[in-house]
Amino acid sequence: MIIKIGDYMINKKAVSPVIATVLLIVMVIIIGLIIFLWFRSFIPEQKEKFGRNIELACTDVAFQSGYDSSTGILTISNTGTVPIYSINLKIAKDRGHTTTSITELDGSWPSLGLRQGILYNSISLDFDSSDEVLIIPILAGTSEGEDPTHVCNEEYGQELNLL
Amino acid sequence: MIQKKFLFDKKGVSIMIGYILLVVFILAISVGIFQWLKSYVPGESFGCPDGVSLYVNKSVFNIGESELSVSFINTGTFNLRGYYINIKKEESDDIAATDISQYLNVTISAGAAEILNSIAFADKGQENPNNNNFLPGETETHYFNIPESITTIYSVQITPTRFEETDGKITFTSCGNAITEQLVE
Repeated sequence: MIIKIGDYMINKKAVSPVIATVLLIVMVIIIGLIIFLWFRSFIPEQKEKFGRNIELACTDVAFQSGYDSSTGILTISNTGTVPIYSINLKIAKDRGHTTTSITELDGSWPSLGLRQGILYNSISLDFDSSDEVLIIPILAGTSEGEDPTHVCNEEYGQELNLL
Repeated sequence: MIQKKFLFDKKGVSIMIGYILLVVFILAISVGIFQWLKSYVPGESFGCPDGVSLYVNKSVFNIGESELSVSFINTGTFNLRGYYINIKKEESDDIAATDISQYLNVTISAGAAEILNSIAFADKGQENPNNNNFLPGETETHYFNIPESITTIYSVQITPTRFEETDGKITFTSCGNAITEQLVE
């Protein structure tokens, strides 16, 4: 009885080797695709500027900044060759900090960003009670995703002289 | 024993197909990784060459006539297109925060023109496909009609500009590596 079962198991073929191979490949491809699509959501989308990763463009950003405490006017001059799309202001106050986009504070920021060589003077902004203000550039690049902008690392920012 | 033999002798795919699949997989993964890493390779950065230099010979503010005159000399080794001009009103100002390009007096400024917040040197008609018209060694004086609201000018800050050719494309470039500042008399 046992031998019979063994014979049955060994000699009977469920699918031919060709079909088994095709099925194997198809299943591997499908599982691979599913894993790829799942894993891709964990990887930040690639953004480019001037044909390079946008993080590299942050190294070319150059600007001067100044703050007149008597008038509250923040001045930024783009002295580099990379347009600054926007800036984030990281404002340290009372042992904490908040990060605000300049466009939330001042509607006069150029809609297409600060081109090279161009000056920006803000409306009166009150930083008097702030301990520290860091200006962090935001660049616009190209991306397959919805948001083509990229906030540069803080190392590319500039601390504002509040005195 | 029979089962063992079955497991070892049966082949899923032939050796040839196995190799082809292996090579195809490796090629596909390599192409994907290459495309991903390619964008991280630093390329040629935009900017002006090191030899660019625009020197302000003299800068005088005539308060009575509200006129600022600025004399330039191209002390570099490259032709220039023009410059951005900003002023510091007070010595204590952090940066030159006032753009005065819009106040250029075009009638007495040797053919200079204001273009997109920058000043362009006059086209002198020489053979110059990139319109960088201000040649090394040349001098020029430009005049600005300063509004009466500005009563003091401490210094002028000049950022030269050029048309640069990069990857076959000509782009207007601000020479941030050649910014100069000159006190106003």
